[in-house]
This record gives sequence, structure tokens and C-alpha cells, in this order.
Amino acid sequence: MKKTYKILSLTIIILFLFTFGAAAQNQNLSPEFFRELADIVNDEPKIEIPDYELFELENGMKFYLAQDKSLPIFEVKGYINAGQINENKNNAGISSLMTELMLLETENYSEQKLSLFKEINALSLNLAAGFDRISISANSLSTESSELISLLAEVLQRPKFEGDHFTRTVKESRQYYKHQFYNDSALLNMHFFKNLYGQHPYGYNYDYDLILDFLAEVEPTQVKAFYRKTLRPENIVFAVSGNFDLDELKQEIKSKFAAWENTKSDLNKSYVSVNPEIQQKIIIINKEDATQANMRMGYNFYSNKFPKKIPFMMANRIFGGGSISSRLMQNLRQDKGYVYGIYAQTKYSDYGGAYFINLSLEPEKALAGMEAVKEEILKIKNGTEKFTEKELFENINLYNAIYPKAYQHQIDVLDQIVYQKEFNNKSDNYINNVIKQYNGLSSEEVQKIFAEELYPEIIFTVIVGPAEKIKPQFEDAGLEVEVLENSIPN
Amino acid sequence: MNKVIRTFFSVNKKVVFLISFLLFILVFPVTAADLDLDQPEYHSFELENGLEFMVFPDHSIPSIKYSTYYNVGSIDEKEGQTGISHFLEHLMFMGTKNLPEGEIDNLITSVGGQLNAATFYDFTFYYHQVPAAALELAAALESDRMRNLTFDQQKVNREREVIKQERRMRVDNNIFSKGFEEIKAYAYPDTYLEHGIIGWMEDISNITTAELKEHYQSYYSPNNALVVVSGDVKVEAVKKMAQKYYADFKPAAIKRKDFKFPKEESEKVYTLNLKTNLPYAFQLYQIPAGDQLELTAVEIFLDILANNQSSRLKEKLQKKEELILASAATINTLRKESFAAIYFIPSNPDLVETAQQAFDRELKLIFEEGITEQEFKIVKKQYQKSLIFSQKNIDSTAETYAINKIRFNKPELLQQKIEYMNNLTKEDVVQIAEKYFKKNQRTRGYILPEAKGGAQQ
Repeated sequence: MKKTYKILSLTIIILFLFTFGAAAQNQNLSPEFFRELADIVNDEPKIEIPDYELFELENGMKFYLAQDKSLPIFEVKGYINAGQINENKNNAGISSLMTELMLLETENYSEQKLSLFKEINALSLNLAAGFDRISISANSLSTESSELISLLAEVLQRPKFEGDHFTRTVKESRQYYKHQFYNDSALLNMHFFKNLYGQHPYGYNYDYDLILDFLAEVEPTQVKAFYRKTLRPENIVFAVSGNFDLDELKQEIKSKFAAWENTKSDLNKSYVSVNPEIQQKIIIINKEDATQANMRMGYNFYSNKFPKKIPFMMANRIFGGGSISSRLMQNLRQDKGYVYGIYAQTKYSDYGGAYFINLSLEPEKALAGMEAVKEEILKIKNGTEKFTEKELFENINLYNAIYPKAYQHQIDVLDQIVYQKEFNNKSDNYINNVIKQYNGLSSEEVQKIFAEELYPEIIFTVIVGPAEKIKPQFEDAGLEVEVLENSIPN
Repeated sequence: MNKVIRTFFSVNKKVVFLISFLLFILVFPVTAADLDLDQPEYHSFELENGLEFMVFPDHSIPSIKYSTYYNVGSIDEKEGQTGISHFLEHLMFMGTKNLPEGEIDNLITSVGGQLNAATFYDFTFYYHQVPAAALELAAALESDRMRNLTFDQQKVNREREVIKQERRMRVDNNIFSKGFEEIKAYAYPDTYLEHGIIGWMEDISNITTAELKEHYQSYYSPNNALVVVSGDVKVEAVKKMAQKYYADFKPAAIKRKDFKFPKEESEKVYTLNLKTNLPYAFQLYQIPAGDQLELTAVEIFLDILANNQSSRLKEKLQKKEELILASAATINTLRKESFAAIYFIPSNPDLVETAQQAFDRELKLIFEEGITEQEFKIVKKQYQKSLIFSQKNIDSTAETYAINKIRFNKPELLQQKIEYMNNLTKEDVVQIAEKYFKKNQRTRGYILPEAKGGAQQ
């Protein structure tokens, strides 16, 4: 019996040593072992829709209210359904100027008092003018939610445009736009988009010369008139999330915004007209001191209403969505070492869109980079290297992993619900419908849609960089390029 | 009765406000409220080889962030090898003895994860944001590249071109970065802060594969690293992975160079001309290592001077006198002595000198007259807000604790800072600022438009 016990003990000790030794020593880290560890399929996520109440004032102003008691904070996102789309050639840039001024001074608060009120209560408020609407973003601790509502009411209803702050802001804006002529990325934006969008407000907003002309003449009355035309309560919607008492907040909102009346105005909006003259064109903006050829290749694309957005999005992820495993990164960075980064993106707006590829490389490699991009486009267009099921799966798997993180906070979910319901006529379940849609895609479908919507024959290219180093490559290859001098305004 | 009270309140709002205000003043002196922060729940442990782990569980979503910090950055680099830490960071994605090039990315991508890395002055970190189920994959990949990185000459040279491209794009082609790099080099010659993180172009071109390998072997050892896992994870699972993948790694002797940062004795001025319409003015001041609690007072001072909307520079120099377009200030906290940078953008090149004089005047005014209770209260309120908002994201909380751990071995430095701040007076702030923001201990630097030529001091 004793002998048996000894053997048993010894066996246990040996087994223990063996097990412990195996755990502590380096694993057999073969590629197959890693593959086994990576055999993970993420579940299709389900984003929880917050329990919100839609509170609408008689003037049409809407508040989506959802409580969240997890932290003592108060967060607001919102939209004014107006923006750069409402500008014309003679007031390009007025939306941005207006929003900047709105944050500085009101009828009741001088500039100094307003900034003090914000800081003493630790309130954050920002307005950003976009193509189709002005977005609002604000937050505070929940103990200062009333002050934040008061601040929003002041800034939105009673902005003051006359005064020293006006003159100073205009002067600062002029300096800012002049500075854009020294910045490669800003020059690229200007020459690409003002050509792509042409005689449309979207284009005016990238035409810094036009904006500088406007700023040279602008008067407070013009900004005030634009404010009256665009800022109307029926145009405004908010998402509010945080630690608040629902009834008290509704009362607060009512007392601050209910008396605000709508004004009558017609906001004309039109679609972008495609300009065939820029198709296939290559423009070099001569910036002698640039160490880079900063390049953008692209074309006019669909508006927000494009029905194939989701499959196109997944296809573009595989093609050039910015990750190191995308086709463009593999070719131009991993294989050729031309670029640090390269990405392809869509820009959807209500009245037009764009699809383009951005890259930045040594000036002497500009043509080689451009050809490598076209080569990748043609592989898909011609079906010689079709998207694989594996490529699609990896991106679906990625989205399934990142969606819960992207919508981890209630305010972000509510914000998306508000935007999609109010401006795109979608349901509360929009996010989950998107998840369902991309999860149901096949590589054939994605390949087909992407190949159909890639148009290498109409690509318009802008390159910002030293023309002396860039131009000869194109000339030697028999390609026509137009060189424009970077004319810096005085 | 309630109705009566409501009526009184609504009719006599002004009177009520006045009474309340007077009562408030009498009962509560205008002092800043004490700051408070709920410490996050976290666990830490260490392996026998010196590798340390911190785990920050948060089960709200099925995702984790697996980060590895190495206690090495650009301040540790030798002469002629500037940028080697950043260069090595790039190579860490190129393959190991067990995995071919690109496979680390492929594996993480295939599980729906994202990975990246960043090099700083005094540490380098790598992270994987992956589904919670991929904990073991992240641990295995990180342990593999901690020990088994390969150095292939051809691949090194190809990546060298990518890094040179990155430098051209981020530094050489950017007026602000290019100018700041030169000014800082002039301010701190022959010190660990002379060069930027990305290194000089000449050094990037000449760093050899052998030097990269030596740098890797010198600093990428378990006793010079910290692993931090935050998110949907249990501490026991991390302990298991630690044993399985890192326990048999051997520690290495870490040799540090002599960190010299001589005290500036007199003011220096450096001007460079670049193609820009806007001038930039920088003021660099030496500060102690980042674990010195006095830096909390320095941060408060800089917010009051340059960062807040109601800051002295914005209120007076920008809004009132229209001498500048913008101002900002920052402290570059490191494990060794470093610098604070204040910059402002004069409204036009002809106003550089006037703006500089006005800046000096404001500085003097604070030292002579102090800061107000209101200014002090604003900073504390904003700090309290940022502490509360930081609790929204466990990953950023974990990062704060991890950086304080890797730099100073003081993971709870934030708590100490809060306590310190609660005992700080506005007089202390000025007294401490005066110690570090002396004229004879600074370097002024100017980026001026080429066409104007010459320095204007």
C-alpha cells in the first residue's frame, strides 16, 4: 500500500512538474498555432436603443431626451438644418463666420462675460458649419445642466454680430484663409473640391480666393441676415443624454426656447452638376518648397441617397480603407515603400458626393504612385483580382468588433438615431439595420457593386508639390498635365 | 403655500437672486471646491523576470485593449542613432522567427482587431484593440515579438524609405513642426532633447541593421516592459497568459546613458525664416521630471496664462490689443527634466516684437500681482470636469495609470496630484511658476516669413 502511495505521489509530482514546465516554457509558436488562436468569429452585435422621449415645442424645435445615470454628466448633440449649402458665390464662407461669431458674444453677454460664464461653469459648446447642416456639440457636469441650456439659448437665439469681436474675427479669418495657401493639404482640398463641385456652394467653400473676397467686404448686417434666414427653431433638433430629471429638463427647455418664433424664408438647394471638362485631367499646383507630392485622385460620386452605400463601404475597406491590409497599402507601402499611408474615401452629402484616393509621396515617385493606384483599381474593375470571401469576412468581423465600441456611450447612439430619423427618414433601429446589412453581404455582391462604381476613365487628379520635380515624369510618359502657380494673395 | 412661494420667486427674481447671492457670499467664501476622483478598480502583479502587468476590468462591451509599454524612447538614443526607437517601432510589425512579414497585421485583422504603436520621448507602446476572446492571441503575438523579432537587411531598407517619407510628410513639410524642431535643438544642444522623436534625416539614412538589433536587445526585455489589459477581461485570465507566454523570458541588464540637462543661465534667442505668412513665437522653459507635484501648479499657471478662453494672453493680447491670433501652452512631462512650451501667433510679422513685449508684461504682472480667486476656481472646476468625463473610457484611464507606472513607477500619481491640488493655494501657484518661468532660463524662438527676412527682437 505504501509502495502504491509512493508511486502515485511520484506520478503526481512528475505530472505537476511536466504541466508546470509546459506552461512556463516558450510555446511552439508556429504560424499554425497563431492561426488557431485567431480562429475567432465575432457575433453580430446588437446595439441597445436608448429609451428616449421626443419632446417637441410648438415652434417645431425637437429634443430627444434619454436619461443615463451612470455618471454625473450632461451631454448634448444637435443639428441646425442649414449650412454651406445656403451660401452663394458672394457670401462664400459666411456659415463658418456666423457660427464663430455666435460663440463669442450675445445680446446679454459681452465677449468677456460669455467666456467667463462658460469657464466658471465648465461648459463646453461648439458649433461647426458643414455642407448641409451646422452641428452642435455641448457638455457639462450634471450640476451645471441648467447653465448649459441657458448658454445654448443665448448663443442660438440672441447672438450679437456687431462689435469689436466682429472686426477682430474677420481679420483673424482673413489671416487663416491666407495661411491656407502655405499649407499643402489645404491647397489640395481647394483645387480638388472647387473643381469637382464647380459652381455650387459646396465648391465655393473650398475656394479660398472667393472666401477672402467676401471677408474683405463683409458687414455685420450680412451675417445677421444670413442668421435670420437659416437659424429657425423648426430647423433645430437635439439629442440630450445624461444624469437629469426629465420633468425639470422639459420645463427648463420650455422656458428657454418656447418663445422663439420661426421666421419665413426659402432655402433654395440644388444638386451638384458634374463638370466633364475636369475628367482625366491632371493638375500640378506648383509649391516649390514642398518636400512631398501631395496627391488626390477621384471623381464626383453619389449623394447621401446612394442605395448601395453599405456594400460600397465594405468594398472600399478592402480596397483602400486605410488599414495596413488594404489592397492600396499592401501595394504602395508594403511592397513598394512609396507611401507612409494611403486611403480611399467617400464623401456623401445631401446634394452630391465625391470618391477619392489620397496619397503623399516623394515628388520623383508621383507618376509611379499614380500608376500603382490605377493598377489596383483595374484589378478589381477587370475582375483579374476579385475580392475574396476572406477579405470580406475580415472586414465584417472587424465591424462586428468595433460597432459596440463606437456606440458604447448612449449619447452616440442617440445622436445617430436623431440624425438618421430627422434627415434620412430612417427608423430608430438604423444602426442595427446597417449591421444586419453588412453581415448579409457576399464577396460576389461587393465585388460587382464596387467594379460597377469604379470609374478609372474619369479620374481627376490634383498634385501639390514642386512642379520642377513632378512634371518631367508625366511629360516623359506622354501624359498631359497643367501646371498652376500657387498664387498667394496679398 | 407652495403657490405663494412660487409666485414670490417668479415676481421677485431679482430680489431673491440678490439675497441668495449675499447669503452665499457670507456663508461660503469664494474658494475652489475640493477635487475628487473615484479610483478605478485595477489589479497589478509582476513576474519573476520583472515583467509587470496591470489589469483594468470593465465588462460593458466585449472588447479589450492589450498594450505593451517599453521604457525606452528618443531620450535614450545615442548620438548618430537619433530616431532608432521609432525605427524599431516600425520593424516590430515586420515579422518574427515564427511569423512572416505582415502576419501580425493579418492575424489581428482577421479577428476584427486593430493594432498600432507610438514612440514618445521616454517610452514606446504597442496596442491591440481586439474582441475579448482574442486575449490569448494578443498575448502570444506580443510575447513573440518581445523576443523573436527578425532583422532582414532588405526589409529594413524598405522600411527606412517609409520612415523617411513619414519624416518628410510630418516634419519637413510642416512649418510649425520644422520650425519647432530647429528651435528646440538650439535650446537644448548636446542633450537628450536636442533631437525630435523621429530623428534627424541623416541618422535615419545611416542607422544600421546591427544597431537596430542591439537597440532591441538592450531595451525590449521583460524587466523593461509593462503589459496593460483593459476592458472585458478577468485578472485570472491575464495571470494565466502571463505565465504561459512570458514567464520563461530572461531579464536583461538595462544600461542607461548619462542624462545631462544643464540649467540654462541666460536667455537665448533663435530665429528662422520659412515660407509662411504667419509668424510664430515660442518660449521654452526648463521644468523638472514629470513626477514632481509642483508641475501641477505649473499646469494651472499655464492654463491661466495661455490656454483658457479667459486666459491673460487671449483676453488681453488677442481680444483687447489684437496683437496675437492664438496662444497655447503645454508641459512636456518626461521621466527626466524637460521643457514647457508657450507659443503665440503674432497677428502679423510687424507685430512680433510688440507681442513679445506684451507677453513679458503679462508674465511680470502675474508674478507681481498674482492670480485671482476666480481664475484659480475656473481651472479647478475644469479639472474636476475632465476627471469625471475621463471615467467614460476605461482605456484612457488605464493609459494614464500605465504611463505614470512606466515613467515613474507611480501608477497612482494622479491621486497624489489631486490631493496636492486640493492643498494648493493661488499664492503657491504663482510662487512655483516664478521659479520656473524666469527670463534668464528660457529660449525664445521665432518662425518668421521669408519675405520679411531677419529677426525682429
